[in-house]
Amino acid sequence: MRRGRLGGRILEAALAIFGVAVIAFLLLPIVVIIPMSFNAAPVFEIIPSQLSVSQYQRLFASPEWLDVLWRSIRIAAIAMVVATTVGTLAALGIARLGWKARSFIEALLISPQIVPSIVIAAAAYYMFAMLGLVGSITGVVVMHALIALPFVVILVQSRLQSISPDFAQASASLGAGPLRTFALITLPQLRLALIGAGVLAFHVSFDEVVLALFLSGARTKTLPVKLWDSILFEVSPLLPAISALVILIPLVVIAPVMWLQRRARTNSEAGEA
Amino acid sequence: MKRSTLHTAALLALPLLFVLGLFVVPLVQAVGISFQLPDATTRHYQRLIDVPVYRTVFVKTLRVAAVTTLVCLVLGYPTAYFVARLGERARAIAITLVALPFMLSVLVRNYVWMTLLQDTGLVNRLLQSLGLVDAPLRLMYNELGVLIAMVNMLVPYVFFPVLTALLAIPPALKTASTSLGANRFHTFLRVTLPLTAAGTAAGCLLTFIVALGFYITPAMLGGPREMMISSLIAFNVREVLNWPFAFSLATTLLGSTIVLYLAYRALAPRGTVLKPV
Repeated sequence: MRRGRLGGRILEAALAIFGVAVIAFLLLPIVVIIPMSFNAAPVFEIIPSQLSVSQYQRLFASPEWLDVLWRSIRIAAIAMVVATTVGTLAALGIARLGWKARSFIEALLISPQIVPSIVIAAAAYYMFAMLGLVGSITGVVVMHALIALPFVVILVQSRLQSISPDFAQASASLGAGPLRTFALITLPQLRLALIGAGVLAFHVSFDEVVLALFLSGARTKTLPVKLWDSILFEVSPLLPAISALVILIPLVVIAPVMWLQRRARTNSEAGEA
Repeated sequence: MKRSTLHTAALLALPLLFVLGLFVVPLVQAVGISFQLPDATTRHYQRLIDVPVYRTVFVKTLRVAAVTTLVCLVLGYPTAYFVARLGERARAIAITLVALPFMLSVLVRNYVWMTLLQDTGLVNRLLQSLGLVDAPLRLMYNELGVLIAMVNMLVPYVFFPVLTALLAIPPALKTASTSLGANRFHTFLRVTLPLTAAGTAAGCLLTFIVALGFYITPAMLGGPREMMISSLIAFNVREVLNWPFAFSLATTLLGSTIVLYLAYRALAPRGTVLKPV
């Protein structure tokens, strides 16, 4: 009996060490890139020997990098608006369907998430080549909106399901038309979900490489495409700083939204209790 | 009733047009070109089977995806088991830490692995300073490098479904098993394992599906010689402009993905969100 307990404890400790080690392995890339970006020496050191912000200074003084950064932000912003609008319409429409039609249309709208990017990119490249859209910003924007769409549909839909239909019915019975009910009742309740969906859509576009690689041209490179080029074909001493920025921007944007949603959820749970 | 149908149609018109025009039409067109419709030839598919180089690429893609999935299972299951037994607060932190890399650029994560695994990278310098190896190990521009980075990115795909399944087990079941005289090992074998089997299988399938379509990691960590099916598609589209052949490869990848995904849907808990890679 005693031996069994000791064995159990050793097993427990081994499991804990294993679990912590795996989580550390998953976090390794993030942990490594930040100190690298503050090093003036071009070699990798966990603790920089020449601590400096020179990489960042040079990065922000470099018009070519600022140019692509700005273009990526613009593309992501438009893709976000398109995906959020189309996705919200879709979620509202799906909610009104019967079970059978619903699962079919849902699967259709979510499928861009399942098909590998490379397949979508190759097919879109061919179509856009016919239409003369390869190398245009429009091509990248609409395809980014397409792959962000599933995220918006899933998020908005799950929020819609948790909203009680009573409010909308009350609004209708008081004589408000559907548009008015939507604007005054449904939309405010969806607000947080829409912000979350928008941020996620922005992030999907801002981060996307494969489609942008195929569809953007020499003059319409996005930040990840330029990053890809400089990682594979030239060695830029600024890479660590750019990488750190690309990693930090989404965190800075997403963290407050997640915090807001968490707070809202806790509040509503507290309110129901 | 009729008016309500009209409203539904109005809401769905734009989204459906969007997905049809940008997704369904190009894919159908690609499949058509792969068969060179209206000729309906399968000779591009025949080439995939007949030419040894292409067969090698297929085998390699399947092997890399399978090994990745296996390693993710070996790393992900015990970690999920560990996290499931933590206190509520510690569990929330662990979940955030596992989910965190999901939000970070795929490109950057691969780039960091390149700097870690190169001949003068951290891993090799560590091994050398510890005196474990004399010359730097070749950790990238080969299959090993691709595997390390892919596992690093895909462990969460096993971890989360397993964790969900573990947390869904009512604690009373384990108590019952113990009180009936089963030891911990037996409880795990007879209660925990069967109840997490579906979630685990779903997680593994998902990992395999995503791994099959990986493009960025093989291109960056594998170098030009480590071709997987996605690199072969890209090469045929961008370099040699062999559309029918590129699309026969794409159709094969698409078909496998769909079949595996349907199997996944049959097993998986609903509402799992995945990130395109």
